[in-house]
Amino acid sequence: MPQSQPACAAGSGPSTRPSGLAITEVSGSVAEVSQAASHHPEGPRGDGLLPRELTEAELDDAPVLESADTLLIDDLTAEEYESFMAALSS
Amino acid sequence: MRLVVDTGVFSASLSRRRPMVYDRLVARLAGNQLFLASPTVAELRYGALVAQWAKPRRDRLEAAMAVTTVVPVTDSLLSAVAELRFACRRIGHPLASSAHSSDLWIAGSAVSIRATLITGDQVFSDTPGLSLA
Repeated sequence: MPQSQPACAAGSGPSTRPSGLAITEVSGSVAEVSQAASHHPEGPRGDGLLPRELTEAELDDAPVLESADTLLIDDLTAEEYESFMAALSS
Repeated sequence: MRLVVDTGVFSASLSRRRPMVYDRLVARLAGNQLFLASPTVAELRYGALVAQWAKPRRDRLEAAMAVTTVVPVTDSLLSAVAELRFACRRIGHPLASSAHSSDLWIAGSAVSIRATLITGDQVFSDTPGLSLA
């Protein structure tokens, strides 16, 4: 069966950058950059469904963090955070 | 600069209640492109589940991760991880141990996209081909 769409795409689709090239958004999830299905119309065999490689242009275009405060979960309680950190170190 | 942020530093960035040892590392994140390795995403989600964070908290965690780019598990990443583990095995580096499997993937993710790893974990010291912040 021909597959013209990413097998596990979720969220946004391709976007057009100023260069005029239609590429997939690089931020967010792994699924969003998967175009392997369109590269392997024969179906899911071997490594055929692995995501394609990011190009240097896409890596260069990855978002830059303006402030570390962007990552903060402001209303996280001490108990919630301690439980979270304990789980990561267990 | 491309930075792969390890699980410890990223989790520390989520709260000002972080251990003080991470303050210096979190302060270095701004102004850089942040990348996460796939094991880090799994570990962060696992931590939220174990800590029984409600959905709004987990949504906020996802929003924080969306500020970064997750390094896709591509064919070249698989080779990079294999080659890195082999290199570590040859020199007796701890990343070759199965006990450090997630750390190996994090390091391999950084190597594969030619990024610097920002971490407070000494296990990454002297990893062949890995640049550390």
